[in-house]
Amino acid sequence: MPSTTTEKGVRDAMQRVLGFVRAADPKAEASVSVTAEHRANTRFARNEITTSGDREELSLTLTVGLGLRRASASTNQVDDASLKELAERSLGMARLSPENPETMPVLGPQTYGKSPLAFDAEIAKLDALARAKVAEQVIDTGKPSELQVAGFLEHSAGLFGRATSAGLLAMHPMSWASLSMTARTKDGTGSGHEANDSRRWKDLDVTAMATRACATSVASKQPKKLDAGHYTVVLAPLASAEFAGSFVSLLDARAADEGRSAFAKKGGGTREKEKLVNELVTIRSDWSAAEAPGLPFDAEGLPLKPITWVDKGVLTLLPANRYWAQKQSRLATNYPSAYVMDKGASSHEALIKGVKRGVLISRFWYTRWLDEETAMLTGLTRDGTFLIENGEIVGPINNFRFNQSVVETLKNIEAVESKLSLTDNADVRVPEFRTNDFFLASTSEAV
Amino acid sequence: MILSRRSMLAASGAAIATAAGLAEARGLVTEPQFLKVIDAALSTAKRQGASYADVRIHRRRSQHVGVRDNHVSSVSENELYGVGVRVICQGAWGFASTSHVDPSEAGRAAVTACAMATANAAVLEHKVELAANPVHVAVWQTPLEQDPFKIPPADKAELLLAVSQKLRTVKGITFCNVGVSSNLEWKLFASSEGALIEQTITRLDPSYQATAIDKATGEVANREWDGAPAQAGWEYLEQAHFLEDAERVATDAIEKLKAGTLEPKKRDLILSPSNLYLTIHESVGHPTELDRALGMEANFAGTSFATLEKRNSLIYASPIVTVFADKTTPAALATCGYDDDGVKTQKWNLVEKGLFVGYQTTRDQAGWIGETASRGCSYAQDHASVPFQRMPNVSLAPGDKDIGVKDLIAGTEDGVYIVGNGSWSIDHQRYNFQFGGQMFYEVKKGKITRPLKDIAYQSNTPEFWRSCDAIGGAKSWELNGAFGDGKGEPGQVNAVSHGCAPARFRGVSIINTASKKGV
Repeated sequence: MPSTTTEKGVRDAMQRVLGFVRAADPKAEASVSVTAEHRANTRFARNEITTSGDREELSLTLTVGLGLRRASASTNQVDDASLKELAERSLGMARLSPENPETMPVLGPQTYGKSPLAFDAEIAKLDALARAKVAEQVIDTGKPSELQVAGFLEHSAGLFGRATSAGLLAMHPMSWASLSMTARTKDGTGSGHEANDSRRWKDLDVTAMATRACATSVASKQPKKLDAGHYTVVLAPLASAEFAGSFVSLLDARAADEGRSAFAKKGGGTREKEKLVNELVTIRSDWSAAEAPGLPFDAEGLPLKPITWVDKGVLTLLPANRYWAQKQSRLATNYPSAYVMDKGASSHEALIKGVKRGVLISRFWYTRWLDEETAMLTGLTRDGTFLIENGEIVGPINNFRFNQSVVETLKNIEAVESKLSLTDNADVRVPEFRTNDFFLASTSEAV
Repeated sequence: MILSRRSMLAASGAAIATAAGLAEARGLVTEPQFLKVIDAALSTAKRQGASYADVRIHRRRSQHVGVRDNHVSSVSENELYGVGVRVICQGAWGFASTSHVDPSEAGRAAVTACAMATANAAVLEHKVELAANPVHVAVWQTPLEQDPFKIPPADKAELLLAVSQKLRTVKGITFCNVGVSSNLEWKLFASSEGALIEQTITRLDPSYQATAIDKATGEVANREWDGAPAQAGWEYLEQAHFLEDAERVATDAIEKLKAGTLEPKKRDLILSPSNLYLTIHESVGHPTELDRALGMEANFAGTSFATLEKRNSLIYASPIVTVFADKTTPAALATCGYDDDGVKTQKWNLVEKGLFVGYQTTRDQAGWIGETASRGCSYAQDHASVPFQRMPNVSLAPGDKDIGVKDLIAGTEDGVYIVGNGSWSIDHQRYNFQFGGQMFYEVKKGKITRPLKDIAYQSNTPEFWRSCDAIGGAKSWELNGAFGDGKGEPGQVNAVSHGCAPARFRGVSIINTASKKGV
């Protein structure tokens, strides 16, 4: 391991670059953030390994301030000459930059907790041979059904650090692993997909994931035609995560205060404290929670506290950075990059059983905002779409494009599963849920 | 010795070349250490049993200046520099990188890459075979007058603030964002076959958006400038009417607030080049990527409806449609001299007079479709990323007649004209798509009658392209492009341009995105 990606190397790089800023201009403020990681991957498709990669490096971003003038620069070169040049170049850019009235002073020393679950030594041990064995296992699972299997395994282990000229120093180890796979039938009419990310290797159950992906592929073969229309839908974890995540991405106090958000009140103000979605919906962030452990500080270096963003359907709080919080006299908080949507009381079977005629959706693809201000989202279903009739899965159907409001989808929730699932984001856990009046706007021939 | 970015900068621009071929080609490579790094990587790979190896010393630099309303909101630079070593051992690929540009680290990366390839070889059904390729020793760089990295941030900010001022002068504009990103790629490629290629690529991405809000209704209208990013120097901003367009963009945002809506139904559709380029990208560019058609991207980006057996038989479009790939188009974002396999770039047809005829390929893919040479589509975004098949510039050939958008509108009884790109989404085999825009206009009896809002068109790729009945002439042909097209696992970005003239499509489903009604 190069010395720059160790804890000592990260601290040393941060201190050296702050020293170069101080030496060049003692009046300058500075903050530095560092990600140092070993990251490697293996990709497979058509039942064989295709490409793979390995990188180990440190990435450092320096922000310097001269009064209200600010500039940032980043590099992956951390020898003295490069860091000195980075410091001088950043200061030069800041001197030439007009003033930014939204500039906030850098943070001083902070007190942080420790997140022991954010780093897993098992992930740090993975190598090309271990990845090849996982790929082989996933591919072999599909062979009895003559499936064409593709997938991707990537892992990262390293450190995140942050320091400022005012004395803040934050460092934390972190790791994650990500496994996804798509199994397609030989005739090209069936497809199944699984994707799980976690900060702990043991969470990724390769056997279970491969079995489910292959089973979905076979079950979705030769889909029947179902017309577009409004349906009750059951969203499997990767699909429900798409809607929960889209909702969370809209949480921003400034956009709401400025009147350009689904959470803006007509005539001014925000919709905080209003019941916007179904009471079955609670969304919270807690870096110390066992379900989705994260780092104990945010990108600015503020210590994170547990926050409930949506409590039984009520929008409790919109996040704001320090500038906007000060301007609006509100709480400065992190943005919810890590969060959990609370589980409910229904089993998966009960979610299906409650549907007279509807659709089970395994996954969405290419979701894009149609209109962010009204929270209208478009996208397509993919990798396993099934018709439900009278509480039972009848069989595979064609894929669809949907055009649907995210807020309305969470408002129309009828039942939520009693367990949380992994998603394709290591910092997010969601349950499945059932929602009604979901607009499947047109059909798609894609499999 | 580790080469820092600083010493590399000092080296750039000097006049000494270390390789005879490069010297002849006005080489910028002056640092003997680069050749030691290359030699360490290639000779180590050979000792480790590699049948092929290549090495890229790659520097990627980007700079962004942003303005929000009346003040500068960000000035930032980002730089990545390092070495990537790619090998074939026992018929399998391996790749490793390092940010330390020195011979010992390059040798270590070669050892890691070879160990990886050996591990991968155990899970292989086909050995990698590279199509033959002439060995090139050459230099290529973007033709430009003013290097955007030499323009001080304050000068950039002054221009952006002038645009912002012009936008905010229009009554009713509540917010605006203005920005310009510059991007530089410098790379030195060498292979075990003897290739040595140095390239410097400079790109510019200017953008802005004006927002108008109706306080009474809470309705918001955003209008983005529909100018294009380009492979060019700072001088491009003058040609692109960056400042001049601001008043029109702001006025459009106000107009959009008051615009009417339409009931969903099938209508004729006229698309400006600023909208159509993205439709070309998604519905022709991506489906004709050979790796998609082969299933290499099945786990992420998806596959393609344009499968191998359909080549030379699928009627992709109407007979007036020819779509070509071209990595040599001047000022286009994906243009370069050589791809990241060391293949000289070229131009070829993907769709010819409506017939699907071609794919985008790399050296390890050409043989899959019986071709003996690569089309030169290999690209890696930085030193730490593995090269794979990426989209070249893909463009719609202009029509034969000297007509423009006014003629297309004049020949339309009941339709919609769309300018700029908005929301876009397409399925994973590239059939079903839905695209929005920036400005929408109703067309009745050959005339624009009123502005519209909440419009998108929804179609199926072959159905859409077969409905194309008119394409503007060469005078109305222009380049637009995408700065950050994503693909692959781990994800990589690629900058790519698409040229086209305005075109008309008959009987396309036009939907109202604010209603929950289908066509």
